Amino acid sequence: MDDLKAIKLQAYLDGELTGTEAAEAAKWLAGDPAARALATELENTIAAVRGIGPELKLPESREFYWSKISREIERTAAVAAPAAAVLWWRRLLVPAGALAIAAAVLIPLAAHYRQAAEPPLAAGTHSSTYSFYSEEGNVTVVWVHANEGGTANGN
Amino acid sequence: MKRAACAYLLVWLVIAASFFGVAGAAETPGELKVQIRLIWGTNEAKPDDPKLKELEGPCKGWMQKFKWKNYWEVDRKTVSLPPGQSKKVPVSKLCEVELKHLDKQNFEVKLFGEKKLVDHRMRESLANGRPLIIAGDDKNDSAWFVVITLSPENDPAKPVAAAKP
Repeated sequence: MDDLKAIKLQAYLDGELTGTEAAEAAKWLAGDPAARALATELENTIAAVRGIGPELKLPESREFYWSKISREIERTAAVAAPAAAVLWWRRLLVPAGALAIAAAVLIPLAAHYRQAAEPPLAAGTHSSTYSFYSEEGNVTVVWVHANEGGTANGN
Repeated sequence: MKRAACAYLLVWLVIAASFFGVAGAAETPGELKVQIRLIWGTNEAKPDDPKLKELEGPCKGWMQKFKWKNYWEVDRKTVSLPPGQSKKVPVSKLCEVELKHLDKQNFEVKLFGEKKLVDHRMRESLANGRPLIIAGDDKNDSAWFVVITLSPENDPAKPVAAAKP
């Protein structure tokens, strides 16, 4: 069984799937002995850890949550740094410079977008997402799932 | 003669203005470059398309976690974002991501499909080379991946954005 299926099964057991997705998972669970074995294992684990401590769910990833704590610590300890002095004439030159380079940048950029490939990608409007984090790879993955009635590639 | 001198001065003024314009733009404190790569995963052999490139760097390792045999880089874009600012970046004809630089190396990512918001819950720290991968199934048992990382062009010595009060 691949990792994605295992994660989906876990989401189903946690009650995170709804509608068609939940029905599909239930059907799959009923017909696949390997899925049932994993489900039993997961349910045993859930039963074993239930009640050990309060369940706290964070809306953000733990790195982001920690960064908020870190920000607050720094905010309270921060000493306002003196703003960098900017010469008045340089302020005038910034918009002038931007105008001068705008034509040079925008024309090739527009040409680039005209020539850009059409990659096989367009998230459909009838989509749901679920995310998971690989501690081993330090990677967060958000999987966009096209529900029935919509398509992941919009084609 | 006087007219020639004026023209000469004007040319130099434009060159100097361009230089200071670029320098001024690059000096925004805490500004970070973010790289957005579109990757296609498939079990098929490489199609005859010169735009598809081999994966390189740590991205190759991240993709090995998934089930497909081959992965090709379809497109790559880099955007610069000062803290507090957001930008929409098209990744295909119908799909785009909106990146908001919250502060430090923290970003909020919104995914739009056909101009409609698909997911708005993604808030990630991209510190230490950590990627955010948005992915989905595609036709013919293939898959697409949008890999968002900090660009290696960022100066590691440059201080990250200050915390907001």
